[in-house]
Amino acid sequence: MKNNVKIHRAITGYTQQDLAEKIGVSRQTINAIESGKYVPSTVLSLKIARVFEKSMEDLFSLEGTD
Amino acid sequence: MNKVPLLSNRFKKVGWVLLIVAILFRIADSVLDIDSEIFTFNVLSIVSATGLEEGSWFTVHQEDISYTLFSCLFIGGGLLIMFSKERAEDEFIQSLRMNALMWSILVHFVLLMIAFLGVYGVPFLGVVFYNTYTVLVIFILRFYYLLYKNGVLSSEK
Repeated sequence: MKNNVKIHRAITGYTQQDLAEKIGVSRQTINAIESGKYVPSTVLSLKIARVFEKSMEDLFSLEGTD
Repeated sequence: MNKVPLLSNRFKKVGWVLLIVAILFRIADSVLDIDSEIFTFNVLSIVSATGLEEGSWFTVHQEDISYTLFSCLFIGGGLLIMFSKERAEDEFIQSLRMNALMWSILVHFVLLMIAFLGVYGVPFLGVVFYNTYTVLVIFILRFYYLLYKNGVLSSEK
């Protein structure tokens, strides 16, 4: 699964730490999501989408291998 | 979301203390060759036997408890480390936990299978002795390696 969390974070001007605090995870978790090392749960994905006021599909999309 | 129930982060330090004490005790016991009489006490056993005789149930008798002491400290400490939360426990860390658990179970049983295939007779007791702790040891090594690799350890300092 691909995501463009990093892009939306840059647009809103949040740091990884800001986003992490808003959704109640560690900064390393945001880093792992952005680098594609970790696929977040549905709950966490919805929380991220809510912070950016976007839908899940705006942030996450399936890849050919999914 | 249902999360795995874990102990508070405070217990992690207690776990490390117990584990280190256990290792130091084991090293001291083998290097200094401490007289086993010091560790011989009356114990209540659920079942015990000498040699090949039939075991007797619920008896009190004298035993060297140094190995019991080491095992209880080591296993107790290891379990506290394994089942205590990290400071910032979240679903990503839980995924690292799962990865470490899978590794530890895999290594434990692969080692056991190799031992079954290649170790026969009395030396097999050594396998039983050491492989008892593989799950704990491999879990802790793998979990801390993953925390380190993902920068979780450095951020906690």
